[in-house]
Amino acid sequence: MSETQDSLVGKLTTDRSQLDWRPYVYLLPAFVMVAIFLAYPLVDTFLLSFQEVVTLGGETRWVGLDNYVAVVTDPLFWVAAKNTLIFSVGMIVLPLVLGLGLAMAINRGIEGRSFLRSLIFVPVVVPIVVAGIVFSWLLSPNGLVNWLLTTAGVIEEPARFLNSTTLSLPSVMLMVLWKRTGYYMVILLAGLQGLPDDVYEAAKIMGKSRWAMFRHITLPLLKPAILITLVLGIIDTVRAFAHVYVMTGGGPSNSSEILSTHFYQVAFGYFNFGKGAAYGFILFGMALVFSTIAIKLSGGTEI
Amino acid sequence: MEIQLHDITKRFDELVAVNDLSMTIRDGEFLTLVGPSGCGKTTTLRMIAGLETPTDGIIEFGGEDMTYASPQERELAFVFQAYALYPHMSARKNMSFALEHTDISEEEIEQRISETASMLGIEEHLDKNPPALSGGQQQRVALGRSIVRDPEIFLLDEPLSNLDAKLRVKMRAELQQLHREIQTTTIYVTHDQEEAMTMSDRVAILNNGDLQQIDTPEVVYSQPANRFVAGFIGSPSMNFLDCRFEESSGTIQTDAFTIEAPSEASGDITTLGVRPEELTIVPTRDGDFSAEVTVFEQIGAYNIIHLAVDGLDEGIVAQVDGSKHFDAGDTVGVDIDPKHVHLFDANDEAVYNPPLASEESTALV
Amino acid sequence: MSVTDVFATDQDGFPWEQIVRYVAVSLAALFVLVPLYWMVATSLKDPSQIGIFPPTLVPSPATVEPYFEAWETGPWGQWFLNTMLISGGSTIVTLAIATPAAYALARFDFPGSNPIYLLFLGLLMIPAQILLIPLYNLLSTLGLVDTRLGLILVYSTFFLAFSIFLLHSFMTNLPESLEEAARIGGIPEWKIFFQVILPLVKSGLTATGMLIFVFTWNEFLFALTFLKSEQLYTISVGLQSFQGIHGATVYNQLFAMSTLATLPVIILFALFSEQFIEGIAGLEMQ
Repeated sequence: MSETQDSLVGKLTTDRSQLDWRPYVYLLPAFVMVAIFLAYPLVDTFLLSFQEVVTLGGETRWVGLDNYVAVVTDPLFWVAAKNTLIFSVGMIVLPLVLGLGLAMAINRGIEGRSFLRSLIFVPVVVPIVVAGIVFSWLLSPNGLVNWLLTTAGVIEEPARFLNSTTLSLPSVMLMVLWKRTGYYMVILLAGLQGLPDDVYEAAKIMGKSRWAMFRHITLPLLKPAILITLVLGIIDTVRAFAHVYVMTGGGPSNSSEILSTHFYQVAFGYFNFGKGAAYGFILFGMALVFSTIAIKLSGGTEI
Repeated sequence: MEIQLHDITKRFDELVAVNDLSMTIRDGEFLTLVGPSGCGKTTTLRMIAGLETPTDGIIEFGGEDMTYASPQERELAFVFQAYALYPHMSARKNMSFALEHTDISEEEIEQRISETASMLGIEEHLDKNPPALSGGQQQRVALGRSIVRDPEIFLLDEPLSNLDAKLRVKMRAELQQLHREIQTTTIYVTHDQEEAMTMSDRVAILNNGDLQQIDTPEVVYSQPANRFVAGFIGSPSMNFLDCRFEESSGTIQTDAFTIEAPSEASGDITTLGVRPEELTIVPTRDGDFSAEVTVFEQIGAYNIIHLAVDGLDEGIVAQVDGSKHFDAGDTVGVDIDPKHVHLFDANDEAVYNPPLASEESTALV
Repeated sequence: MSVTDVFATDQDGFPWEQIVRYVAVSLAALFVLVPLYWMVATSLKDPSQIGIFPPTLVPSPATVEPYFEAWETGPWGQWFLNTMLISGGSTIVTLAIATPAAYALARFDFPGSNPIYLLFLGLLMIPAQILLIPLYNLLSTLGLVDTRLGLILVYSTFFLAFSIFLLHSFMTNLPESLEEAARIGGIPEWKIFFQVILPLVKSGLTATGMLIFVFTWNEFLFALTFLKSEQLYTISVGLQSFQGIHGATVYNQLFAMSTLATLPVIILFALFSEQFIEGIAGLEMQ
């Protein structure tokens, strides 16, 4: 009897040591950082999205959903949304396809794989502003591209790529393709290297065609890697700013304006902070929704 | 240091890894926890080490409640299956690392390391990093790392399972000798019943989280508490045959033969157990029953024959002297000594076991 | 038969697949190199070769004069120093905060570990620029607008989740028994972290650190928004303002400075390309 009581007491007093405080201590600095510089601003911007700044001193008043309405009724928003959709082809689809092709090309049976991988990755580390400046120059009326195209007889007169409403966005996309292909390639290459050799040998022995191998072995096994690139691509598309800002500034006549640059224009060009905050949340929502759709569509639960 | 486990239970979500386990590990003894994988032996060891917390129950070291003490507070040593040496530190640093923050002087640390290293024969490897050492050498460094701390309790988790067979036998003897020298309470976990039998003062057999039996190797071999222990301890395994106990005639009847029951036999007996080494192969006419040799395994010191018996669904295994040779197809007689059988009831509990060999010999004297 | 053989030649023996492979890779290499070549080549041209059509493919005469001329046009040395301080500072602060957090998430099983992991994953999804306005307000309250420290803190927060994930992937692969051995050995927690875990994830720390350094070196939007005085510009903002002021007239100078701005990251990448790639590829493991 007394023994059970003793042991009960012993248990009660030591029970609290069961909560392991160590991980929380290790996480504390990160929590503080996130709370101050992410969570607080996020809440702040959320509240701001329902307010209007009425005086220069920063006084505000509540306006309900007016800011959101203002964003979605802004015709430029829809122009930017359409441009962003086109832009995402350059941010995601093209570099993904090219990156996958290159990853497969250098994965096996080629000399100097690791050198080639590094070489194709180089544009990823080049500052975006530098990339923008270089491509602006390459695409300028008396730049290298026009010289090549006129010499080859593709066009007669040098094109004004960045000043053309039809060519400005594709011009930016060309730079983006240059910058991102290596990025996707490296991720997909890592995925390819995780694929077991014997699967291919078995398929080869069974006489499967290359297309069948690609379609039924490579692609399914690569799905997690492709999913990652998709999600990263979507987030980066919503974030992309300097790409357009440096090369075209969104012009001419908003022909290359994307959501991110338009957002910047609204928030900092016109100093409409309330509308800017609402715009920001719309962007956030888009990133979330499209990432979720990408994950759902590929049937992946990895994330 | 004496270790007591009181009603220890460990649940991982739905899974009960250890179920209401109580045992006392005596000061200075070498106790082995043995059982098939998933039996709870490693979990038990990890709870003693403080790496897991019991869901229920109390762990005491020398009478002091240590159930929730951190591993750091327990001052014991643990040798891991994969050694867990710090790969970025030399063997010497691996051994001194745990002593550096204590108040043990540098000279003392040096002394302990060189003594331990010479005891383990790793003096010339002290300045190498673990990846440069062989498995056996890594194992010795891991032991050395534990020994230099001069712990009160020594825990070993399948420390030999990553070594090749030959080295394993050698290390087995070395560990026994080591234990004799340092005389520390030692708990050793293995799934290998042979290791358990050869090294331990006592063996605790676990299955599905339940303690089956805890006793000396001799007792768990000769007098297994139940059918699980009987089948787990000993190699090749004990033969089990369905049987009936005829109380009136004092016989045990199987589908193939009838033998005299031991005089102590009583009650509801459903299984007859006979160890392969307790079966005697005799000319056909002298046996309790005859059988056909299906497979003959030449081992050397002894040989093993697999037998098919008319009327029995499953074959039985017998161990014979190394000088005896049989061919598949031979018909032999099998003799069972009624004193050396094991009888189990419907719950697989032992109702009769033969006397211990040690007791038998004393009785004869 | 090795896989290399399987893929090297077609059944009929003609290595058309090899040819496609080499052509594709050569085109890709050309695509990568031409803009970089053009940048360096232009930076070595004298004004007479700028803006003429057809362009001169190889600078002749080649001159380093544009580098010196451009250097005089603005506080470039200061801008490089700023970028160095901001990138270096962000790298250190991020690693200092992300490493213990990754350690907690990778090596401990505790109530809330999963939600916290998912929370950090969610943070990755926030398009950073939507926080520009409130962060601007916050930094002004703290007196950190237009300071290097302010930018360092913002960068460190934004790269935190990314770094935690990357380090997490390096840490989860270590055997658990290492820490257990240390704990049983009576080693204090801080010593386990610093002397057992950290040395074993050195390559992960290098990879993460390099990536943060390069990303922050190249970041533009936040630098553009939070750094107001010219004295505090990063190299990207400096380049952009130089382009804005001087337009297309002095492309040789603009490219001289672009080359200088790119050089540090290219050198870093050349030195640590394995770690970089391992780091980027590490994302895939999540």
